[in-house]
Amino acid sequence: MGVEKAESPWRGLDGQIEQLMNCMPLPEEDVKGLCDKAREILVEESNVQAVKCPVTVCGDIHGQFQDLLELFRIGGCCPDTNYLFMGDYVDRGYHSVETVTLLVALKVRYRDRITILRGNHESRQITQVYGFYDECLRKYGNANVWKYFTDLFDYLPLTGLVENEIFCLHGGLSPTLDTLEHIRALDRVQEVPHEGPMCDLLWSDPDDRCGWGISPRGAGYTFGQDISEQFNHANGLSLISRAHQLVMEGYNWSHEKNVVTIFSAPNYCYRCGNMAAIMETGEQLEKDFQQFEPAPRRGEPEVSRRTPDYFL
Amino acid sequence: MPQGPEGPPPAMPDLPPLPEAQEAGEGLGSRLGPLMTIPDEESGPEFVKSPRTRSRHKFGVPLGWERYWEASRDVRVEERDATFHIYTAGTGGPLLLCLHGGGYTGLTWSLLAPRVKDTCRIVAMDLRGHGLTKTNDDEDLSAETLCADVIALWKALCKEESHFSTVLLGHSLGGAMAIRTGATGKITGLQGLIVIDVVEGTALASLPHMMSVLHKRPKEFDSLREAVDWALCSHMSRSEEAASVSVPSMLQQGPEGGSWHWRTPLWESEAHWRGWFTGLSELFLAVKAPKLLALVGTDRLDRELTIGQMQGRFQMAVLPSSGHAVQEDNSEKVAEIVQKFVERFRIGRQLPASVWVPGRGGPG
Repeated sequence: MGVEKAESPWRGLDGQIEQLMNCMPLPEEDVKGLCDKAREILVEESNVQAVKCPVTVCGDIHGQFQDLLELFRIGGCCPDTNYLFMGDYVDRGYHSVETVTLLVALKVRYRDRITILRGNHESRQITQVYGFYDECLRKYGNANVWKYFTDLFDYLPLTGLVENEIFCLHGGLSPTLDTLEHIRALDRVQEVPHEGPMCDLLWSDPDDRCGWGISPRGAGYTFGQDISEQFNHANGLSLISRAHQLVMEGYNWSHEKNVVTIFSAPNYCYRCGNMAAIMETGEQLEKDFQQFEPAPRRGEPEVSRRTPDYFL
Repeated sequence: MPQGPEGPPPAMPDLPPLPEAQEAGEGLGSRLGPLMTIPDEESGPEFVKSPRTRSRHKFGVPLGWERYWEASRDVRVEERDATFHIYTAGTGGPLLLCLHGGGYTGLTWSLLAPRVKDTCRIVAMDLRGHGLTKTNDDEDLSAETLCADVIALWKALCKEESHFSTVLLGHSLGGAMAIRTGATGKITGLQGLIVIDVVEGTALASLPHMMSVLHKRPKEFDSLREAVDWALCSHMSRSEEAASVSVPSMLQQGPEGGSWHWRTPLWESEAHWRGWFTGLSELFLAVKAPKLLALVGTDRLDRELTIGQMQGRFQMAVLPSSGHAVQEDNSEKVAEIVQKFVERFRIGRQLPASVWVPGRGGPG
C-alpha cells in the first residue's frame, strides 16, 4: 500500500484531501494550485452538466464542515459514491474555508465522480456580507484565498442534468429560460448578476401560487406548479431538484412531485433545529432520501450572539 | 438578499446653503423634543465636556429641518385626542411613512428625505411622547397605543390626499411599531414594510441591560452643541450632519432656559418594553406585503427569522459599517434600499399582466 501510494501521481492531492478531512486548511499556495487545476476542469463543463446515475444529490452546506463529514459517513465516501452538490458551500457556518477547499479538492481528484454547481452564495458580493470573506481573512491574514475561490466560482456550472431526466440547480426557474438550450447558451463566467436569467437560476423559489411572482427575497422569481409542469414537459424531465430553501425535514416535495427541495445543513446556523437530507438516486432513477441530524461537535465555539448596545 | 449593485449613491439634490453655526439655545432646538437611543456601552469613549472638538465642526447646531424637508406641520386627530407633528417632502409616488426609534424624533430621517423625495412622498411623524407631538397622555408608550396612533395618522393623511399606496419604514422601536401596525391589516394601502435593526430575540436579550445603559447617559447638557458632541463621541450617531439635525430635537430646556435635558423619559417606559418586541418575529413574517429587514450584522437574526430568511420570506440587507441608527449613519445606502424596493415590487404602480407581487393581486 505504502509503495503504491508513493508512486501515485495523486500523492500530493491525496495528502491534501486527508489533511482537509481533518478540518485543517491548506496553505495559501496549495489553494492557489488547486483552484488553477479546478478551473481547467470546470471550464470544460457545460452550463447544464450531464451527470450519470447512480448519484447522490445534496443541498446547501454553508460551511458546516462537521456536518459535511457526517453527510459522507451517511452517503458514502467520494469516490465510492457519486455526488452532485447544488451550491452554497460557504458562508454562515464556521468552516467555509475547509468545506469549499475539500469539495474543490475532491472535484480535482475525482472529476467524473463529483459535480459541484454554483449557489447564490458562490459570489463575491454575498460572501463579503455573510462570512466567507471574513473567515479567509481570519485564517490566512489576507484576502488572497477568498479571491482564488471567488474567481473559481465564476466557472462553476449553473445546473446539472441526471440521465436527461432530473434537472438539478440551486434556486429555480426563470421566466426568460423556457428550455435547457436557453440555459446552455448563457455566458456563465461572471459574477452572479443582480437580475436576469443567471440570477434567477440561483435565486428563484417554487410557490403555491400559479404563474410567476416577484420573489420576496429581493432577487429571482417565485414560480407556480403550472410553470414547473410546463418546463418539465417541454424538456422531457421528470423532476426539478433544487436547494436554496431551508426545509425542516431536510427535503420537501412540491408541485405534485414536479419539484423537490433538498437542504443538507442540519440545525442551520447552529440555531434552526432542522434536519438535513440527501437524495440517493439509483440505477433506475429511483429516489431514496437519507435524513440526518447535526454531527457531534468537537472544538467548535459555542454559538454566542453579541447583545446589541441599544434597542429602543 | 442581494445588496444591489454597488453603484454610486444617488446624487443629492441642491440644498439650501448651510446656515451659520448657531450657539445652542436658539431656534428649533428649543421647541423640539425627546429622548434618544443609546450608545455603545462598552467601547464608546468617555465623553469629556470640553470644547476642544469645536474647531472641527462642519455643521451648525441645531441644523434646521428646512434644509431637508419641505414642510413641518401638525395634524390634529380628534379620534386620538392628539396633535401629531410631521415632516414631509416629495409630492408624488407612494407614501413612505417613517417611524423613529425610542427617544428619537422624525428628524432622524432628515438625511434620507432629499434622497427619496423624487421617488416617494416621505412623511416622518413624531411618535407619542416624542418630538413636537402632543397628546392627552404622553406617557402611554404601550405598543397598542403607538400602533393606534400610526393607524389614525395614516387615515388622516389619506383624507388629505386620496388613497395612498404605503410603505412603512421604521427604525428600532419604530420598526417594531411598523411591524405591529402592518400586521393589524388596518393600513389597507400597505404595499411594503422596511424595518431597520430590530429583531425580537435580540431586542429581548438586550432589554435587561437597557436601564443601566439609559442611566449611563448624561442627564443634561449645557448646550445643544455639547449634546451633539456627546452623541458622536458615544457613537449614538456616526454622522455629524445627521446628529446636528436629529439630536437637538430630542432635547428641551426648562421654562427658565438653562441646561438641556432629554425630552422623552424612556426610563419611565420600562413597563412597555417587552410588549414592544414580544411576538415580533412571527408578526413580521405574517405581514403579506413585501418585507425588507436591514441589519447592521447578520448575527442579529433570531431563530425564527433565520428560518424565515432561509425560506426566502423576506429580503435582508446588511450594513456592517453602520451603527444602530442606520438611517443617520448611512442615509445614502438606506435611500438606495428604499428606491430599489419601491422599484422592484412595483409599489404604487400597476402590476404587469404576467407577474405576482407578494400581498397583492396578480395575473388572471
